[in-house]
Amino acid sequence: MAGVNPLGREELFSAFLDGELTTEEAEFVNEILGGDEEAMEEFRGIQQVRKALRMLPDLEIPGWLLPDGHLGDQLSSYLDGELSAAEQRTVSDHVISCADCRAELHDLDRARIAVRSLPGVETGQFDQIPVIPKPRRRRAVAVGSIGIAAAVAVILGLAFGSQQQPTISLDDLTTQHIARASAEPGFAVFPAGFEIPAP
Amino acid sequence: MSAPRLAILGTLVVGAMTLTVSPALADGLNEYLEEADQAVYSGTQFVSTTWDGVEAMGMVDVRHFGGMAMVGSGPVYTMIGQGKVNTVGSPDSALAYVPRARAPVNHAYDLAGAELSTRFGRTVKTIDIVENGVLRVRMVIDIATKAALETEVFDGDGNRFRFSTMFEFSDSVAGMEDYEDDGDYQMMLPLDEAGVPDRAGRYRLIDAYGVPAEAEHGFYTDGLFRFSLFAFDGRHDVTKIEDGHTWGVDGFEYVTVIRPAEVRVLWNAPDQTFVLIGDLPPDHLEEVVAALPRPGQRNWFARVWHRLFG
Repeated sequence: MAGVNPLGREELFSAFLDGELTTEEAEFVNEILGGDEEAMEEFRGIQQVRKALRMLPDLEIPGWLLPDGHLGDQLSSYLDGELSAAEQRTVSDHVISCADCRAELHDLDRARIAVRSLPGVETGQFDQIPVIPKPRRRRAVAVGSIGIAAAVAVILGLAFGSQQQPTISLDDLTTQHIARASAEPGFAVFPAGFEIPAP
Repeated sequence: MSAPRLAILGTLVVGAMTLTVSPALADGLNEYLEEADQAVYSGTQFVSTTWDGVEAMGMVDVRHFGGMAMVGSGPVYTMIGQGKVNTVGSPDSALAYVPRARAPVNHAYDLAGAELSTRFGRTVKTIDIVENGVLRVRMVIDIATKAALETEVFDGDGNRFRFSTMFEFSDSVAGMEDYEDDGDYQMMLPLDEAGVPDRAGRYRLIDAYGVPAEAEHGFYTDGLFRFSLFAFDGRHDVTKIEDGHTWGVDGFEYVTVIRPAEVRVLWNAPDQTFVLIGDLPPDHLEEVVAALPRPGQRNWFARVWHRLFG
């Protein structure tokens, strides 16, 4: 612990827990913690305080504290996934009851989608769901231009032939279901990928 | 988000009720739910579903903190909660659903039994939810954390078809407190007008969302169980689905895929393909599919016309 006073040590530990240290600084903290029981105790104390702070109940932001009662720039942060869990919940609750903010959210999202659809920009995850091909429009006169037998064969072939598409990504659909269902209170989740073979 | 990675996901309702039912139930469950969303716990969860002779089982590590569940372990894991799914460690985008409303309840459930006992050396309470006298859900809830340590779900004949239990349980979540949500979310906003049915049996449409490929996603619940209905324009070959089983209802054939925490049902109506994914009991599911467009083929003339003229 030479060269680090207790006050500086506390800041160092906080920065360490926030992941703000360089590799060398982080190694220095590891050295401190490895050889000093008092420092270790202090480190655990800081960890406990941080954990306790995170467990404080979420307080709903009163509407009057919001600018004009609306969310403004928070909507962009919401769309970008930059809000904390508590903020996300506050925004979700507000959007549910506020038509203005919902409309603004729609507009913002449309703009995002437009940007994402530009060439070379990631377009999202839905490309695995096949676009269902429309049947090709055929000219009716073509039927009249061939022999009756051929026409019947063509019609029968068309009628009984398959144009079905073989793939729908059930896993992606399940993910969408899970995501939406998780907006409802009181659910538990588990992954089925580690399935145990049935006896 | 790739299909194999997302194959790991499933859901199990352990009680999702914003109920307008008997005061005793509403009081108890509301209290439980408010606290359950903020429950802090971790453990190994086992889930199984038995359906029409087919059994599916799964087991996974779960950590629950701040209203989010961290599912899996290692560098790639999935965060789920508050309408969001984000597979961390994956370069793919994440999903975030904006609900238009909290789910109302259109069906009465009653609360029965509240026995105290111990599990993992902890005090637990067993809660039964009955529907018209039939036991539907039995939950063992840890008093301290409000986490569901065990959940059993029953069909209309009282037979258990889904079972979930924690093999290991702790009221701490080491490692999760430093999680920071940096997902690049694809936002899903509810449609103003839905194309999917606004009811399916006792289940009400809560929200509908547009998805590409000319499809629509409807989310339904009766306040306890829930499902999503995906309606695709046109027909897909649902018979080629891996692990698909034929399931007959009223003389119509559906394809089902049984997963540990949910059942997937697929069918072709004359001009649409439907995929239903949810945690409904078998008798509820029969009622639901009976209220939706039935499986069927276009008639011969319609097929010819469609092929020739679109």
